[in-house]
Amino acid sequence: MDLHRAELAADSLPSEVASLDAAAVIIWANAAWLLAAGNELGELLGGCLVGVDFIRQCRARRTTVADSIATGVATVIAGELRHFERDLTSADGLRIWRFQASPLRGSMPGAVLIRSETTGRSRTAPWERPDPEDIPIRIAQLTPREREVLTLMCRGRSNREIAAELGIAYTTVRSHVQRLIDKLGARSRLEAVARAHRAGIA
Amino acid sequence: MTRTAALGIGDEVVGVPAHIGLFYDAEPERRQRRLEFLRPAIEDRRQGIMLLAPPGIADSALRQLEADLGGSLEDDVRRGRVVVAHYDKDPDLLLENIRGALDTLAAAGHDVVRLFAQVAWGAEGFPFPEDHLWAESRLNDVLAGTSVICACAYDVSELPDRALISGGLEAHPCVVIGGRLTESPNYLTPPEYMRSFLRNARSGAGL
Repeated sequence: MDLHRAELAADSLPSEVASLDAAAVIIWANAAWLLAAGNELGELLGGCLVGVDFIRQCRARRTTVADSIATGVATVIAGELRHFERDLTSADGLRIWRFQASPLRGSMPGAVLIRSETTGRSRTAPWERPDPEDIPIRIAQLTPREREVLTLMCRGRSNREIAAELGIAYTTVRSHVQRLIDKLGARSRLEAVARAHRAGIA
Repeated sequence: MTRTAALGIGDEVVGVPAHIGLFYDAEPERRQRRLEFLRPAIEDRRQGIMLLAPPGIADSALRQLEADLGGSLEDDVRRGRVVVAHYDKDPDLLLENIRGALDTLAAAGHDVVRLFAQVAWGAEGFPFPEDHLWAESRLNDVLAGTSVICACAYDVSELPDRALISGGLEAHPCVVIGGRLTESPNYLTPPEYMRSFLRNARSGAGL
């Protein structure tokens, strides 16, 4: 299996997700989280089942890592931090997990916790493919109108909005979009946008 | 004054329009949440219903809903109160499909429209993830000024963390997790979402 396929396989692993209320009690967790409660990461954090006070459990472990996670989550729940992230390594150093917490706001203060194994994974999205080597040539083959359309696509505009801004028909914009996606060798609208942006367009 | 309506899930109330990321864990919870979300519209004939799913799934989603309800929706489909729409591989056409179906429901005079969208990564006719997430972000603009309550259903048992954070949480102003409604902790407006996408594209950090 090549590296890209291995990353794809790793990225398809389900995340473990739980939500905490304002008192840091786990009020919901998905099946992956519950299954992982007994694994090495679950052990590290003191088991984390629904109804458990997550911060208290972490503190009870009396380890530096668990303590730092407890502090991070408490800070998130208090609304003092928008995002907390910590990578954790297994005792043998061969496995890595990423632990993330984000605040809930509004009518129900609390936090969302996400854990996932990141061993061997890059931080590149699994669907992000490398640009073709001849991308400058491909971009040079775009017509001036296609470049205009692409620039507006990079601003997030829809085809309807592009048609209005350029004063051309909606169906004409659709043709331009499809043609420029093909010329850039992209699989999708947003992949074309990403390639154009990296090449300096918009 | 902001208009509100019952979400249908728990005792939650939402402002109208609403665009909600509905996170569920595997199929039984999806069916339960869909039924809860759509029941107010099924019981109140002034409300319209739109089911959005990939072409190969949409009809079975309707049949499944009928089975969960214990009754047929055939009459409502024929009268246009229940509309089944399809995802499109092209995210721009997807938005146009949604806009067209919602316009039809609004023209029929429905007080509120409940849109249940079933996210199905990799299904035939479903956009690539990066395109789907852009469409999710731009859907906020499509819904502005409408009377639509839209719930986009994501299965967290199948969802990689990056898609969860970058898509589900960034594209929706509100989320339901574990049956509880909250503001999304990571919501970005459509222009912010696009700027974030371009920053990530530039740095190679993914979407």
